[in-house]
Amino acid sequence: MPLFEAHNLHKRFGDTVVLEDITVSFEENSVSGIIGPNGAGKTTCFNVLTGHYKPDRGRVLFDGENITGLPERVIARKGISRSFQIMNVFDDYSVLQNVMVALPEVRQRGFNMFLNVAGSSEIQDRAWDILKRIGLEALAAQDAKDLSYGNKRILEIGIALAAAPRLLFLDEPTQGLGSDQMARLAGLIQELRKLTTLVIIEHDMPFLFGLADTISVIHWGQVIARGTPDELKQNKWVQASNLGKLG
Amino acid sequence: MAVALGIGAFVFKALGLSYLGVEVLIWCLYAMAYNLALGYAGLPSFGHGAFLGVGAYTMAFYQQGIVREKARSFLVPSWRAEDFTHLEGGLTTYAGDSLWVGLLLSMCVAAGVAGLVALFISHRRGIYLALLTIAFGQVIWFTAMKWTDLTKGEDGIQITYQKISSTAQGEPGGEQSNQTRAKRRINNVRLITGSVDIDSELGSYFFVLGILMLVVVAIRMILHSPFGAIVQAVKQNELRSKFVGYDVRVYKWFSFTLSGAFAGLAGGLLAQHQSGAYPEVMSLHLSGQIVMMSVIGGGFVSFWGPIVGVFYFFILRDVLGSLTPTWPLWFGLSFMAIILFKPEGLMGIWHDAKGKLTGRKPSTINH
Repeated sequence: MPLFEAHNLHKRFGDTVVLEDITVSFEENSVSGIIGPNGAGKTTCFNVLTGHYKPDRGRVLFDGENITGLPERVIARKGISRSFQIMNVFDDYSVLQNVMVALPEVRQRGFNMFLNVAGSSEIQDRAWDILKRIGLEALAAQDAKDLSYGNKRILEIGIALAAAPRLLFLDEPTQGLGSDQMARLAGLIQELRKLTTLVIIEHDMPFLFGLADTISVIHWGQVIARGTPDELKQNKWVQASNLGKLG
Repeated sequence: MAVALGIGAFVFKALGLSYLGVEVLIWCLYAMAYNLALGYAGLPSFGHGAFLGVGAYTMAFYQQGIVREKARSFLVPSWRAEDFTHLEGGLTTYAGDSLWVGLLLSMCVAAGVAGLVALFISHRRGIYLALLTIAFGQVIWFTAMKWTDLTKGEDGIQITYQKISSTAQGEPGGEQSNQTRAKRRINNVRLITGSVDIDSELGSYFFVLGILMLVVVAIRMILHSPFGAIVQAVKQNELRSKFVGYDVRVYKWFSFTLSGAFAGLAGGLLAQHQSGAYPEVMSLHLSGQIVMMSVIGGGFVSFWGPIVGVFYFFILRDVLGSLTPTWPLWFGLSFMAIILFKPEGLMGIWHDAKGKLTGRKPSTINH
């Protein structure tokens, strides 16, 4: 049974149908990709899957449990974490604090007024673990707002990772990155796949085809093709559509 | 800071301004409480005076025995009231009144009111939140002005002063015990080590200073706890906090309530200090003043900012005010200048100056 399934999702804004009929499923411990041209409904699809929008029709199942229409925080606590396309970090916090505040160890003690976060070795160790994993430990004390663009993207993923997710959604992680930063990101994603199940939305095809086990192609609010990267390279839809060149 | 404020006691005394000194400390406490909402939780409340006022009235009612009377009329059914008439006098003037109970009540009642208000504002943001706090502040102020049966309207509740010697309490009957029945003001505080005469100048100063320090330590602890970390995260980025799994409304609600509770504590001390509770502190004008103090001092970037702001205000009011009646103009202009050129306030300027001297980049971490 797949870890995450969505059946027949339909979403409209006013008269505009953004998601016509989306059915996707993601296997545990795999990297899945969602790809499509700009305006195909990728991000809306993401927002529906992670609970930011409620679908008008359809069902979302996580680990066999129906999570359709639950609020973001409830879905997050069940173990689904996400990064954002528009960078969304805690600007005035240091890199370390950004990661710390997302830890389940902090969340579970949310109303404990007597614990000193900075003095708790359990919390500190976990936060440093995450920083080492994403390779930002040298910048731990820096304010997030002073980070370079590429590092902010990495921190964005670090926050999502800190929540110890069973399923991690990454929304266009390569957006605005240069080629060497993309290589770094690809390396990070290879590391992350050992820890958790990943779903990546991308419009950069070579990047995604190099990483994902299975890919769903979304166009006009529908899944028009689904398969491994090799299968998709043969797919006429993919070849015909202007999704980008496959090197 | 504690040492500075301790020395302050003698400075105020030397200047013959002990009364003012205590008032300044109470405002410091109020400002620290307020900044919990404004600076840390990012809830710009323009009606916080309401909670100060609720705390003050609670203390005044308590010392007048009104709290006990109400509680009794609530607990004792009317058809049995006759059986209790012999307690009438004793109940209004029970000798076991303790300032601690009064302060605790002030805090709890203010927390209750703040909690109620917070229910309506915790899902709002920015200007809507600010407008709602103004509205609630005005409602509570108006209630204090117009519910004359309970609050005596604009006159306020005075806690009439009557010192009771310990022998008078012991002797049953006679004129002495009539004296104990007079409404009175609590004049000392029992501590573990003994009692403090809070009618003496230094006694009340150090008592209030002690409370202020306790609250400062408590607020610091809260800010460094997971709760504090989360509240500040919610302030910075609500959407992100939701996706990390936080119920942002609950955190905003609780920080507002906490802030109201500490403001109520300040109110309780104020009523004790002024021997009464008056509606003025709940006015929009005075609610705005605490905002200005917090912002000028640098509450957005510094833990001590609000206290700096309080001192700035009182120095301007009393030093500049003795030279020119136009001091509010200068206070207002300096507020505008700070908002325009240095929104981080006086502590922000201080951080910059320190950074220049030591050659280090000033830290922007908010504690």
